[in-house]
Amino acid sequence: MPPPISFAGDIFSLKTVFLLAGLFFLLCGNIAAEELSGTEYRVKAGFIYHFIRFTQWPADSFAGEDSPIVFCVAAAEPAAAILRSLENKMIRKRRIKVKIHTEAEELPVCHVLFVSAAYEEKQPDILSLTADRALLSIGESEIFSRRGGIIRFFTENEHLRFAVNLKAARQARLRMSSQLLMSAHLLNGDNRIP
Amino acid sequence: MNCVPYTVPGRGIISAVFPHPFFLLCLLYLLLISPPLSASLWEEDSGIDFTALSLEELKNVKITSASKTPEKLSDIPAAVFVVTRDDIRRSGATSIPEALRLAPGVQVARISATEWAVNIRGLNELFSNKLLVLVDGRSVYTHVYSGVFWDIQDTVLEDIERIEIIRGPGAALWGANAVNGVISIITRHAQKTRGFQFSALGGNEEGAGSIRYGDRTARGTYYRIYAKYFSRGSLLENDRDIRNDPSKGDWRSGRLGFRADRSGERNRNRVSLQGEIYSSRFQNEISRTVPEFPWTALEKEVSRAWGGHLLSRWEHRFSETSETALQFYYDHYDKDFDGSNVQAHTLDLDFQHRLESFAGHELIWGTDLRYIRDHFQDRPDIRVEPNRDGQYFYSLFLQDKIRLLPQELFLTLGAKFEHNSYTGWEIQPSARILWSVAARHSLWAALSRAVRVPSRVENAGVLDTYVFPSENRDAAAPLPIRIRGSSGLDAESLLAWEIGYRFQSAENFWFAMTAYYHDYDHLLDYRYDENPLCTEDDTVCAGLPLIYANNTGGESYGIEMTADWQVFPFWRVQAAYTFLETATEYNRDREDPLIAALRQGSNPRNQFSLRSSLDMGRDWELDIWFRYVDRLSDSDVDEYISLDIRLAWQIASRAELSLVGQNLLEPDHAEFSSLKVERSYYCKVLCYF
Repeated sequence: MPPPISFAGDIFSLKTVFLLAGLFFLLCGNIAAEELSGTEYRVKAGFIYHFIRFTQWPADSFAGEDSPIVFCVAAAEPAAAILRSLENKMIRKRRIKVKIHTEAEELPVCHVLFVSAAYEEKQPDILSLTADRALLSIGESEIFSRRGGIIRFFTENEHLRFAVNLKAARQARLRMSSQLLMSAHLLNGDNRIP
Repeated sequence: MNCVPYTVPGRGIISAVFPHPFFLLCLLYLLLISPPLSASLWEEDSGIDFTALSLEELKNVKITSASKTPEKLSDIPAAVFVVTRDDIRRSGATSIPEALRLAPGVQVARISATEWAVNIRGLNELFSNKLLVLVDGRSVYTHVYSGVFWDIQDTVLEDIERIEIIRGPGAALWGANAVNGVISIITRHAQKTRGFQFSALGGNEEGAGSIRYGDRTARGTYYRIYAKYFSRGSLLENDRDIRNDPSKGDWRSGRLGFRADRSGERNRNRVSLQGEIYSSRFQNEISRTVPEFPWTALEKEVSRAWGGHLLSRWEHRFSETSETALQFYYDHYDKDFDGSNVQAHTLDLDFQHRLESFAGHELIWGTDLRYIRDHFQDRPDIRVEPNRDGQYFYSLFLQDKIRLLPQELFLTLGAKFEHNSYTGWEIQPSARILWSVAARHSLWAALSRAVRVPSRVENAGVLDTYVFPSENRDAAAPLPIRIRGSSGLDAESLLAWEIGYRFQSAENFWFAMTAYYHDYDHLLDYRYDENPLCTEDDTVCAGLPLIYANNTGGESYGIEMTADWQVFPFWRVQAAYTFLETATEYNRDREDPLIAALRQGSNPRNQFSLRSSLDMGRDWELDIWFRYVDRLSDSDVDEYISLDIRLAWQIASRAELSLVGQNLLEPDHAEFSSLKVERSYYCKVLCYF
């Protein structure tokens, strides 16, 4: 025997459903896209992929036409693991190879080096080990650019931006495509973001 | 492989990781990386391949970042389970206690339309008075009767990020009353709840609707505001003669709330503010003793409750190795219960500091100050004397996680020192050890002590009730019983021994098993009141006067097993089995069958749950959930098997239409009392824009 008390509840439920269903069709007809969001390092991984794509290394940096691009990551977890997702991505004929927790002696084999802000605090001289090599260095702090780092990330209203130190890029004999430079904040000697 | 790490806000050490419907992504991710398997995706937010976006598109992606190093589930030396937002969505649960059925080792039984018995490793007891429940760090455990008023705990379920369940004592970190377990409900960060969300649900048992709007202000503060309303019917009562089970119905509840979050530069400071007000009412029948046949009279009344809270939290990060959290909240409720009414105000200030300044040590310490002021309305059969009281609780805890062997062996030592106005200082220490035997296998063991502080009713209440001495109720007048609280009580204590094992295959399989032995002492029970406080014409006092006393011990042991298998990227199966055996010590007063009968209550010895989540193409989801719950021997409730089925259709990934049938196998079944839960179905629309 159904309890008599629930009757009022049933009527109410039905009314609610009709009312809310009406609202649903009114409101849901007008669907707008929400802003895309992502975890910092996953988005950075996306950027770095394009940095590599739009950079040309001097011919002597690679043994052969299809030898891999070595991407060294000087960062702690979980950033390192996320950046590792670029492993095996193809850029033209080259495959990306990721090396984590770069030791000083491993640096010569790198084509790309990412240094997290925390890692740089711990080992501020990491860039000096790579001076004059055709290395695309990517960092996260202002001092990184001043020390000769080529690309550095910064944030603007929770959106990622990047700055390119053209002088440092030239010294490293790297050629960057206009697609990259047009999206970048360009630094010329003065390393401050306007 | 751990794809989604979790951290309890402010309780930095506990976090967990689970396979997830975004498992496909995780699998891909796994294939891309080689060991060591320490990767974390951090967020469940999107399965987007950001390398496929152009630079300009990437510049338009808003970034989210977390600062704390999350611990993996396999790194926690405790029986932890996490119910994710997606689990809740796919379960078809429409309330928080129903969602808790998803967690292994949690016994959820519906007592009436508005009450649930929620237990973890429960001893033979009616209410789950040894279980601490937190919502975003705010305790919803009431000091009135040591338990949770589940009927006033609710929120927009879609905005719950996850529910973390710790089985076994969590007292070293959470403090008193976290004896048999801790349930921590964590709502979503306001950054994740932007835009409109609208849900409407209607069925034969309930109707509900919620609306939420979230956005970001020009100054970078994220916020959301929400409103929710529901109406639920009563349970089926097949035997109207049962006097102690008033049927409750026509339950209506509404709430309004907000949450705002703001992060400073590089996430060094994070501030969160949230608040809510709610109101709830239902029809209640209360049976009162009357002096002539049939000795009881049913009174209908409307049971009302309203309340609200305001919580603020400030997290500050000094460096990667040192961070603090300061939290303050005010909570108020005014609630009718059992024909009486209580108003309570709670103020709580909590501070925590985590630091890893010493190599091999992760230290967490904290302090908490809580003040509760209450006012009870006297009714003839429930009184609390004095009816107004203020209580202070203050505590200090310290925990050190020591790395004995790097990546392999960890020892966690902790203790909480807590002072309460009833039993004074309580010390609750714990020692836990975790051993990563091999890459995917870990073992842990723990020994801990926890206490439950007597409730306000146990301390100062006077309850008048009655029992019918014989089966034939017409024959004799009921025997009046008066149960009196005692101010001389000690805290109930528990010494818990636990061992656990976890296995996680690289790709798609996860298994955990825990065995435990709980040894209780100073349990509260009744004994004859040798010195009853009676007035001249007190008829109740002439019956059986009882008083609370710490005169019982008890033990329980059990096994909890859970497995999670992503069979295919589109099909996931989860199973859980719980075995529980309890016994209370011999106690002289229990020889009296009346006393024994008053204290009875029991938990199912065996529980089994099997859940299948199937994605059919991109747009359809089919979820089937099968549960077996053993009989409750002491309360004469039969075993039952329930089957829930949910079919959902995703419309353009912005809306979801679902049809849910619950308890489909039988027309009705009892779970705790003579009240029966009926077969039910509902239809729900959910949309975001």
